Amino acid sequence: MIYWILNLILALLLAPVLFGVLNKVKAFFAGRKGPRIMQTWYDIFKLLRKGTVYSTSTTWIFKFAPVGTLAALAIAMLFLPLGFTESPLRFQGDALLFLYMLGLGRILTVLGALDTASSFEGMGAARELEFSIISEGTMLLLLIFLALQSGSCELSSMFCGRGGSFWLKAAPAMVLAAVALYVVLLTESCRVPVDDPETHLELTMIHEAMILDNSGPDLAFIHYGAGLKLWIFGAILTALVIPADTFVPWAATVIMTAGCFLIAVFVGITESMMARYRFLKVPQMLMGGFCMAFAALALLLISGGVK
Amino acid sequence: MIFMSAGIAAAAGILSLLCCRRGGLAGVAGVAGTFLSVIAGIVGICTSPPSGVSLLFMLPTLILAPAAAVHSVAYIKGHGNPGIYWGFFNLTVATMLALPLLKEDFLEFLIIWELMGVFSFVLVMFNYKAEELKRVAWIYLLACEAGGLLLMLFYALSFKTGAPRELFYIAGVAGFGLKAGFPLLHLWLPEAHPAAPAPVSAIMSGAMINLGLFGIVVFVFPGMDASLCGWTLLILGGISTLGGILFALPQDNLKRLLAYSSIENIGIISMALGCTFLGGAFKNNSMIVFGILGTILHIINHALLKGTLFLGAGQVYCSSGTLSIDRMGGMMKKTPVTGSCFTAAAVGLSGLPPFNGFIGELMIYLAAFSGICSGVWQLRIAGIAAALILSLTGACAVAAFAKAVGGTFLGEPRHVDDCKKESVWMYGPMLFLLFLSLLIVFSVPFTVPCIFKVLNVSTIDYASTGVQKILFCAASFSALFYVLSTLLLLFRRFVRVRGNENAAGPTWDCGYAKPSARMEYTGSALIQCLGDLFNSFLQIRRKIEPPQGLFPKKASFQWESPDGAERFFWAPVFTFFAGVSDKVHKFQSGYLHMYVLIMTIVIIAMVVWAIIS
Repeated sequence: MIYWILNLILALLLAPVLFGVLNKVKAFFAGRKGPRIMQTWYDIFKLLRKGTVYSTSTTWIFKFAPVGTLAALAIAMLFLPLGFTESPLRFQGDALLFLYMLGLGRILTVLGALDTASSFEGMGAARELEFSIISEGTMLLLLIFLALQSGSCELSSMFCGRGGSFWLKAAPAMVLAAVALYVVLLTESCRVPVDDPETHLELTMIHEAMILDNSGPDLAFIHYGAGLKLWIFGAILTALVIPADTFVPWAATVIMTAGCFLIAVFVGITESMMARYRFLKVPQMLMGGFCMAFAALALLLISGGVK
Repeated sequence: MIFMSAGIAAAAGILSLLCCRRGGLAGVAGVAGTFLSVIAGIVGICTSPPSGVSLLFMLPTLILAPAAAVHSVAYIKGHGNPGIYWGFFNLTVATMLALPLLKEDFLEFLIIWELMGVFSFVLVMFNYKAEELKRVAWIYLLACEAGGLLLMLFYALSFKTGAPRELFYIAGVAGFGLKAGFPLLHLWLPEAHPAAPAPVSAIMSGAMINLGLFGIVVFVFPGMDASLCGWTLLILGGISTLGGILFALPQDNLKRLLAYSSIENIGIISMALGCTFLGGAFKNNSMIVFGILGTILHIINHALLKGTLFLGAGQVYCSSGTLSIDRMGGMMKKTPVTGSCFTAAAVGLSGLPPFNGFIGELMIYLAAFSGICSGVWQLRIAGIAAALILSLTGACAVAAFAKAVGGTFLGEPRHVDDCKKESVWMYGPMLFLLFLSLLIVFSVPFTVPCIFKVLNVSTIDYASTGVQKILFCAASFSALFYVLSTLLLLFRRFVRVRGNENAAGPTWDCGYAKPSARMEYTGSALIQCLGDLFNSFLQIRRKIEPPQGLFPKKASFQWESPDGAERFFWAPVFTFFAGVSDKVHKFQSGYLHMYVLIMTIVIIAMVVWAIIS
């Protein structure tokens, strides 16, 4: 339990740093120096010291949305097997609470965006809603996949209770599941090829378009929440792929942290290597991820890696 | 005692009808009657508890009736004759309170069932002067009567010993399914709900359509194979769920959207029941426990939240005079309490924490996951299908309700300028229902033993599934969400106190100097990508008039999504039968010699038939 709490603190501290690493990788590919590794933390502190501009169109929903989103993401984090240790707060079915907390964060962001009456934010919201349907379905298939492997509905036990030999039992299914989860990760954390957070044109954004009107501490919350989300999915992907729950705690902690940063590097490489897809093409990619998750599930059931 | 509650409601209804000429008197009699009957019902339940199933299907009526009655006080002002409204409102409530108690004798049940259809028909066409209501009323009456006919067939077949069981089963499921809005039979729901007064829609959607499921469980299923029952409910429920929410997405009429969402929720309840039956068939204890709890919780949650949403839609209609989501916008500033309640209920009904919608869906998910982890392949397939459908539906429901809330309440008003203020008669009941929803989240962990005691099924071992701990955890994390949000709000306030000031200004529209409400994303615009994604299923009708020439004057774009079952199933079926009857009509030519000829041919044919056989 102590190790889990230490890991949680580590995650809360390091989550925004992921963006620093990611941007460094992108800068390396572009031949630039890039912003500092801790830049997101600096941004957050700067924003916390600034005032907020609230549009006259908005109501309490706009003011509550960033706060609620961050709270939902933080609660979702409490069920993760951080550092490959089972969460002390786990219970049967927390995997679904995890999924639905992410959903709560999403609807709050969308409602906050619609509250501003801006056409760009509406556009972002519409796209977010479209893509989230497929990625949520993929996520659920992966949860079923893990439930079959571990025989449990607890998110932590799903990852930690599979025994070390699941790669031997169902290697092709594992590869497919990992790729599907990577697609979900790219969607949920709003990265290329689904969404480009750094484009200069609001017309082509998704997540950044939804938060165009946020400023001050609200924007700080949103940035921090984005970091948490990337960490959440990084941790899940690491835990899905690496059977490290039998390691000594400090080694497991190092592996998980390294895994999250490695995934940030991967995302950075992905972003540098390819351009954002046209919006009409994104659902095709997401459906590809969905089908891969489905195939992984079918393969698992056939090959008998089921506990 | 418990029948007295229905009796009081019926008496109050007749009294209100008698006071037709004196509107105020009828209103007093109506409201007082509803409240008295509900009090009598609660006292009756406490003194001589009915069986668990009856209680479960009475509860939504008991909760929604008083809320809808209070809401009606403000709603029906200037909408027609209050005597008639209150009369039939109370009579409908009386039938709905009586129905769950009549599970011993099917004939009594059938009579009350038919009465319920007729009484509610009057309520649906209460606003009878509206032109479009003629079609709606016709459809609703047809649906009620078709259901009644099928149930009579069902009743007749139950006496005939040699009758095929399949026909008996299909007649029962279809007859009750017409009320529950099963796929293809749901046609009346999206028509009747937008037309009926909002409080009536609330009661019909939250309590009445459940009774269809009650009928199926109590009258059709006994004596049937449990696995067949489970699969029927699961498959029909699954189709209802997905189809309902997908058709909810593109609707522009707020109440029509809510009606489709009711189809979806009845589907979810059916899936939960289906999981229970399948668990029973394969002796899977945890699937039964979670399935039963999921059914109970979702019935009550749906009643509370959908009630709130329909009452909210009623307030919106009274304030703005329209139900078109695309024409509204910005209602939150005019009707803040209604808007907040509507938003909370919408988030809850999408199945999201921290509201009660989530714990119901959590139970259903757990039933599905118990099936997945059980090792029996039928249960595994059922579980995977149920969980997948639930999650896709959850995500679609988020989109549909984001559209409903965003389009109606958020942003700037688009067409509605003179919006009336909200009335406490209307939002009071919504607050009451929401309070009950929150109460459910935090009280359910402690009432689980009580629920299973009332159900009185000794074979179910709920303790071994740890369901109480799960519900307790779900409630604690919901509470944690409130706590954490409050802390963050305080933190933001604290940061702000330290000297940085807030400013207000127009929305930053990316450099555009004069943003107007016409540029805002409407509900339809929000859902357009999703409509395209699912267009192969929805078959949305588009009507485009593109701008032409160098200085185009006029251009327009319209899209609407009429019901798929109506367009692609019922319309062709009815057209076919209309064609057939047109052809048959030719025999009725009016010429005497033609009739003589036909009769001769028939007689000859009969003689030939007799000789051959």
